[in-house]
Parts: sequence; C-alpha cells; structure tokens
Amino acid sequence: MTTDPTVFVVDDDQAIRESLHRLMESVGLAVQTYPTAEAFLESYDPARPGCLVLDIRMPGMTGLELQEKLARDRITMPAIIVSAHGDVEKAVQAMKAGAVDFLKKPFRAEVLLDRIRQALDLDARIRRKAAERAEIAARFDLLTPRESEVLALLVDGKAPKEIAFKLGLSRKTVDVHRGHVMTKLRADSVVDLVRMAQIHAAAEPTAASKFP
Amino acid sequence: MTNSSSERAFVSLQRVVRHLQQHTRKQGHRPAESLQVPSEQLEDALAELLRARDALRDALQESRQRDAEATALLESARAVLEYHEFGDAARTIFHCCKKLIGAAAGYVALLDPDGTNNEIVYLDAGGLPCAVDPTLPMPIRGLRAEAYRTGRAVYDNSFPDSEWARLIPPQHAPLQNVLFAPLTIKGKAVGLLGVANKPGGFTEHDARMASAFGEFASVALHNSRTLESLETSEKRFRSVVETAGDAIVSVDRRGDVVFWNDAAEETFGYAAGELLGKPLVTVIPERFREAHRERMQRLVSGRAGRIIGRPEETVGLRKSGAEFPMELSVAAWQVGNEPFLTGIIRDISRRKRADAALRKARDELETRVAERTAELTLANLQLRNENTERRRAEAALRESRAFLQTVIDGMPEPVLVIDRDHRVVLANQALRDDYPGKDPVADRLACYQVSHHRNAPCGAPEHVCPLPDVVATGAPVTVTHTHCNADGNEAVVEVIAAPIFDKKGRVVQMIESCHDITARVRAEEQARQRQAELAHVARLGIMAEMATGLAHELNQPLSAIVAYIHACLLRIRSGAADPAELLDNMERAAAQAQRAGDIVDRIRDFTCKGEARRTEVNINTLVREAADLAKPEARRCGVRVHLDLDELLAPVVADSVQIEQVIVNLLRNALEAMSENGNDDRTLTIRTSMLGTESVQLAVRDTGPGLADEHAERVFTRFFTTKADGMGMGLSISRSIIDTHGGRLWMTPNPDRGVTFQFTLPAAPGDLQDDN
Repeated sequence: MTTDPTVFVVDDDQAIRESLHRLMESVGLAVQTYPTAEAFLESYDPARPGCLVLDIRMPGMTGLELQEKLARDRITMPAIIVSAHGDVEKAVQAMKAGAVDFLKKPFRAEVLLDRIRQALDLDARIRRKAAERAEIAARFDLLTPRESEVLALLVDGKAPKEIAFKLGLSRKTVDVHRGHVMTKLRADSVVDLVRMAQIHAAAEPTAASKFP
Repeated sequence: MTNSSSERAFVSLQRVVRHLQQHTRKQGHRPAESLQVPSEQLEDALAELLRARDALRDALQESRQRDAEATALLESARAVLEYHEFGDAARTIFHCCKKLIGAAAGYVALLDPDGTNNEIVYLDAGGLPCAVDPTLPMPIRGLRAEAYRTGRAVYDNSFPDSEWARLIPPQHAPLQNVLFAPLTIKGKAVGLLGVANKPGGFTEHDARMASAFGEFASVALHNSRTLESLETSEKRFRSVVETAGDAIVSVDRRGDVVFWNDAAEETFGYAAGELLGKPLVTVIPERFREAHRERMQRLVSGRAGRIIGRPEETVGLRKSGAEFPMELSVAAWQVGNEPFLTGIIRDISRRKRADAALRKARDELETRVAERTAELTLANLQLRNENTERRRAEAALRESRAFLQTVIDGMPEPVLVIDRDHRVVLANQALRDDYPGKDPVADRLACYQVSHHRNAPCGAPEHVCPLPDVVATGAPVTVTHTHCNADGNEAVVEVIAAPIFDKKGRVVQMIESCHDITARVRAEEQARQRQAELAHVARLGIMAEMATGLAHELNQPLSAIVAYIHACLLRIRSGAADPAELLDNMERAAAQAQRAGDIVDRIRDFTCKGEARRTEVNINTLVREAADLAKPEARRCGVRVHLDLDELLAPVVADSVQIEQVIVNLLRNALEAMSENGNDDRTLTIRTSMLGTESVQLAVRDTGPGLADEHAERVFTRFFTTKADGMGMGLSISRSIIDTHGGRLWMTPNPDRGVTFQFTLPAAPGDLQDDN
C-alpha cells in the first residue's frame, strides 16, 4: 500500500480524464481516472489517502449520489466538484454533501491544482486526527470500569475528595485509580485528560454511554 | 369500205348467174361443154370476190381490235373505281395498256416532289435482260421530258438511232422503240405511263390509246390522293376531339359525389351545388344503376391502390332526362383509409353522330360506286359524273373538317398537333391567342419555337420532350413544362401528348393538349415555404431550449484544452520538458479545439433558415448528428443513448435539416419523458432499418413512464403538450414534415414500459443495383 496521496478523477468525458491526468502528472501528483462512479467504487480502498475530482452529471450514478454513498460509508475523502453545469442549486447540494470545493468548467488550471493541494492537506489532517482518535480509543480500551468512572468524574471537574465520597472509596484508592488512568492514557495533566476524553467522545458517540 | 366491195362482188356474181340461167333456158339441158360463159365477166366476179373476202377479214379484225380496246378501257375504268391505292390501279391499267398495244415491257412512274426524277410505281421488265437497279433515280430528260413538257403521248420507233439513246444507262435492256403517255392532274403532267419494244413499232393509234390509259391512271392517282388526305385529316381531328377537356367526377365510398368540375356541369346539366353529397347514380339511367353500384363496390373493395381502367362506353343521364353515350375511365385511390373513385367522362354523342354520318356517307359512296361500276360496263363515259359525286363527298368531308376545327377552337386551353420533326401542323384558337400575329401552322414553326422561344428541341432534365417516348411506345405521355407566351410570361403547363398513327400503325404525328397548372404549382410552392418557415421557427425554439445544455457541452473541450496547455506550461517552467510529450499534449489540445468548433457548427447548421432543399441523404448520418446535439441533455438526464443503425440503409431524398429536426425532436421528447423517472434504467434506443426495399424506418424507443391512452393520438395535435413549459408544436410539425416527404410518423406504447416513436420515408429510387 502506497502512502503517496492520489488524485482520483471521476468524469465520463474522456478528454477531461486524459487532460487532468497530464496536468496532475506534470506537478508530480499520483492520479487515477474512472469513467463512472461505479468503476471508482469498485476499485477504491478507503485506506488510500488522496482526494476526489468529481463531475456532477454522469450517466448512471451522479457525482452527488457518489458523495452520498461515501458519506454513508463514513469515508471522509475530500471531494472537489468540477461541473460544466454550474447551477447554484447543484453546487449547494454538493457542498452540503461535504464537498470541499465547487469549480465550474472551464476552470483555471492553477486554481484547480491549488484546490487539489488544499484537499490533499485536508485529507492528511483528517487522517492524522483519525489516527489520533484511534490511538486514544485504544488507550481508553485499557481502562477498567472503575477507572472509567473515576475518569468521567475527573473530566467533570470533581476534586478527588468528592470523587471518593461519590464512589464510596477512600481518598487513597481514588488517587491510585487516577494514577493508573494518567499512565494508561499517557496524560501529563488533568487538562490533557479532558482533551483526550473530548476527542474520544466526539469520535465514538457510543463512548458517551460510558459516562452516565 | 367492206360493204361496197362485197356488194360489188355480189353484183358480179349475180351477173354471171343471170347469164347462166338465160343460157340454160335457151339451150335446154345441153351438155356442160357446150356452156359458154363470157370469160371477162367471170374474172371480174372472181376479183370482186377476192376483194370482198379481204375486206371482210379486215373488218373482222378491226371489229376484234375495237372489242379488245373497249374491254381494256372498261377494265381500266373498273380498276380506277375498285382500288383506293394508286399502285393497284396503276398495275391493272398498265397491263391493259401493254396487252392492248402489244408492247413487251414498261412502267408507271410519278414525278417526285422536286419535279426532277421519276419514281417508279410499277415496273414490268417484260423478261428483258436488264441489270439496272430500279431504285436508281430516273432524271426527267430526253423523251420523258418531252412527254412531261407537252402533256401528250410521244413515241420513237428507231430509238437506238435517236438522240435519246445516249442517255440510257449501261446494262439497260436494249430498247428498239418506246412510247410515253403522261398522267395529268389539273392540266399538269405528274407522271408517265411508258411502254417499249413493240414488234413492228408504235403507231399513232397506239399513242392515242396510251393517252386514254394515261388519263385513267391520272384519275386513279387524283382519287387516291384526295382520299388519302381526307382520311388523314379525319383521323387527326378525331384525335383532337378525343383529347378534349373532360368531365371529372369523384365519389366517396358510399358513391356520393365529392367533386364535380365545370365540364361535368356542362355535360350533365347539374351545377356542382346540386350534386355534391348526393349519390352519383342520379346521372346514371335507371337500368344501369345496379351494374354501376356493383362495379363501384368492386373498385372500392379492390384496395389496389390506383386502378386505371380502359375507357369504356356507357350511357349517362342529363338533368333534362335525355340519355347520351359517354366514355368513362375510372381511377381509384385512397386518402388515409378512405377510398375514392374518380371518373373521367367524355360525352361521345357528338362523336357517335359524326361516326354514323361518316359511315353513312361511306356506305352511300360504296353503293354509288357499285352502281357506277355496273353502269360503266355499259358506258364508261359516265366516269365524269362519278367524279362529280366524289367532289360532293369531298366537300362534305371538308365541311366536317371545318366543323371539327370549330370544336377544337372552342377548347379553352391550347391544343396542337406536331409531326415527327416537331413542326406544328395544327393549332387551335387558344394556342394562336397566346402568340398573336403569328400563325405557327402557316409559318411552319416548330413546337419549341412557339412555346419555349428556343431553337432546338427540349431536353432533359428540366424539359423532357415527350415526342421520342410517344414515338417509341405509341402510348400517351404526360410531362410538365414551363411555357412562355408571346409577351414572355411564363406558365407551368401540364402537357398531355398522345400519338397519331398512320394506316400501318406507325406514329406519324403527336397531339399535345396543354393544361395551365401555374396556380396549383405556386400554391404548392407557397405551402412548402410556409412549412419551412414554421419548421425554422420550431427549430429556433428547440435550440433555445437546448442552448444551455449545448453551451455546457462546449465547456468540456475548453476545460480539456486548459488542462493540456497548462500541463505543458508547467513542464516547460520546471525545465523538465520532454518534447515528445509536449507535442502529444498540444495535439490533444488541438483535437479538443476542433471538437468545440464542431459543436458550434452543428448548432449553426441546425438553426440555419434552410432553403427547403431536397438532396439524397443517409438517415444514419442525421441520427448521429442529432444524437450529438442531444448529448448534453442526455447527460443531464442521466440517460444512456444506444444507436442500433443498419449500415446497409438506403438513402432517402429529403430536406436534411428538417429530417434532423424531427429526429432531435423525438430524442428530446424521449429524454424528457425519462428524466421524470426515478433512479432506474434510463435507456434511449435509436434504431434504423429497411422496411422492404422501398422504405426506410427509424424508431426512437424510450423507457419513460409512457403516455396515458387519452393522449396517445393527441400528441400530434398542434398546441397539445403534457409539459409544463412546452409549446406543443414539436410533434405536429414533425408529422407535417414527414407527411410532405411522403412518409408516416406514429407512436406505439412498448410492451414493458415507455413508448416508441417511429417514422418511415420512401427510399431514394435507383438504388437497387447496389443491392447485391
């Protein structure tokens, strides 16, 4: 698996596919083209970083339908919509479906390349965050139920004495649990703990259930 | 004379007998030796007897000769009356003459139209060895010229020594003596009867006899010429009358009149208003009505497209209740599914009367000839009376000719007869009126000089001369010409050209009847123009609706060009440019620029005004162009366009812009129908195919929701639409375009889903030889 980000071009017009291929190559970007949305979905591996360049109007599945399908599958690859049909309504729909940009054909090549670079940066950032979330989630998985309870109260801003009282534990026991939580989550401070708990909660809504 | 010499012999003998009787009475029965007869008396009697015998022989011979002469002359006179052909009469007369005179050979010849040569009518070489071709010209010179010049019989009994002998061609049979008697008409020698090689030579009497035979031959010749010209003119005028303007009547399936022209009003006495919508049998006598209904039923149910029967004679009923004979031709056709019959009716009562009169005159003439023949066996001199009768008959026929000229002059449209050299030999008043101050017949003008103001016969393609066709087939031909009248005004004319035959069935002349159809042609032209204008407006409408899509379609190649060029710029700026790759990019960019140009061209071609010009086009080409135009819309609607084209499709003769408009219209309707679908199969199939060998078919099939039944036929109505923003013009114009191209446009629902619109167009003619 390559880690180089790839520009995935989906357009039913062969000339558009070919010319964009040449353009990407000329700036050293990896590029793959597909004549239909279906062809793209068939060969796409979500683990591959990159961005999408999509036409809206295509026979079969349209660009908007592809966006919706990706969103349902929780695939967050940024998409740039490039369309010859520049109607406002379609542009709004595309942006709502999570497109990062909307370009009207004929576009300026510099602008397209610029947006592609931004999209690739965005993808990299998203992937970094996703990796971080995965890391945090893995650490959370190490916690015992009691340690999770203590963490939840800590994040709520409760003092150790209050926590001990609430859980019917001794102050010392709470300190031991807190020490384990800090170690397991590799946190330096309570502020650090709070940040990680927020990331975890946002990434995995079900995790909130762990905080009654 | 015979009488006196036989009388003298008789007197001499009586004298001798008397002498003998006296002697016997005186002598009693004395022995014969004692008989004394005066010797000079007996010698006288004997000489008289011999003379009487000779005289009797001469008289007998002369009487036989007179008898033979009379027989020969009578036979000739009979020949004159019996034979209408001069050749037959000439043969008989010649043989009578030759036999009577006792010549060995001879001929009958006529002066040719130039008056310089003899043309042999009948030749009798008499078994003489003659090797001269009888068809060679016989110049009028020598003794022949003498006979022509003097108008008298001439002969030469020592021909080999005469000054004429040197004019005889080599290898000609040897001629001892010759006799020529002229054939004269109105005091002018027009032919010769010649005989030759009479043993012992010709006499004055022979010359007189030959003159008599020459006269008979003259009479025969005159008769045959008169008859011939009368027969020709009678035949010509009959043709004229037969091609005259006719009553034209159309009826529908129930036999009710739907069309009734002016001539029909005149023929039957009913005005159009009185008969339209009424049964046609009104003008058929009661006893023929049943047969008429049956025949009409047969024609109507025949469904045989266009039947043209031979004209048949039947009887019509005028408003006045009078019946009249008529000639009826019937044609059947269909408009939609509705059969119609058209009858072309000619009132032939006048012709019938003329026929009867002619027959009667002929019968009378024949009776008279028979009587005359009988009389002539008694007295051939009555021949002169016969000629008077003939002149009377000629006058009658001339009168009939004048009558017929009046008839054709009464025809409202030009009628003319031309010979095989295009010369006008007959013209009616309508034609003369078009060219005042000119008389085409008297001026010996050619038809093309008169109606086309040109100096050579008409030629293809714009003016096809009907003459060669009529001569070749012997059948009538109808052509459309543009004629100019004397002022140079042009008129579009339908010319019906029919043959006129001679006795041997050859086409010798052609009659042309001209019908001015300028108004009809102009009306058709205007209708075509209006339709073209309407179609153009509709095309602009379609293009306005498609403009956004097509503008977007332009953006595709423009985007590609931008990307290719920018890729080159980046390579060059980076200093890592590979010339081969740059070249490739530039070429691809150029191709896209071409693509953009093609889109613009297509739009321009489609919206052009279009001169309503018809050319041979391939429907497949139009389908591809139309599909290209509809492509952006297909993209917008997410429709797959599938072409299923028959590559062996025959071309059609059509206005390509209008047909493409129809196809674009059908494609857009189909796309629009499918855009209302959900996210399922949206396929548009365009299929072309041959329908037999004579039609080309195109089908546009969609997978849309289909049409409600109540809309199925109304979609072709103007201003009908199921669309929110449609004008409802497209399909009605499409249908009128296909109609004017002789095709059909219709719609059928598909068995599964959607509808199919189809049209047919007639294949261009003359493509069959490519079909192997």
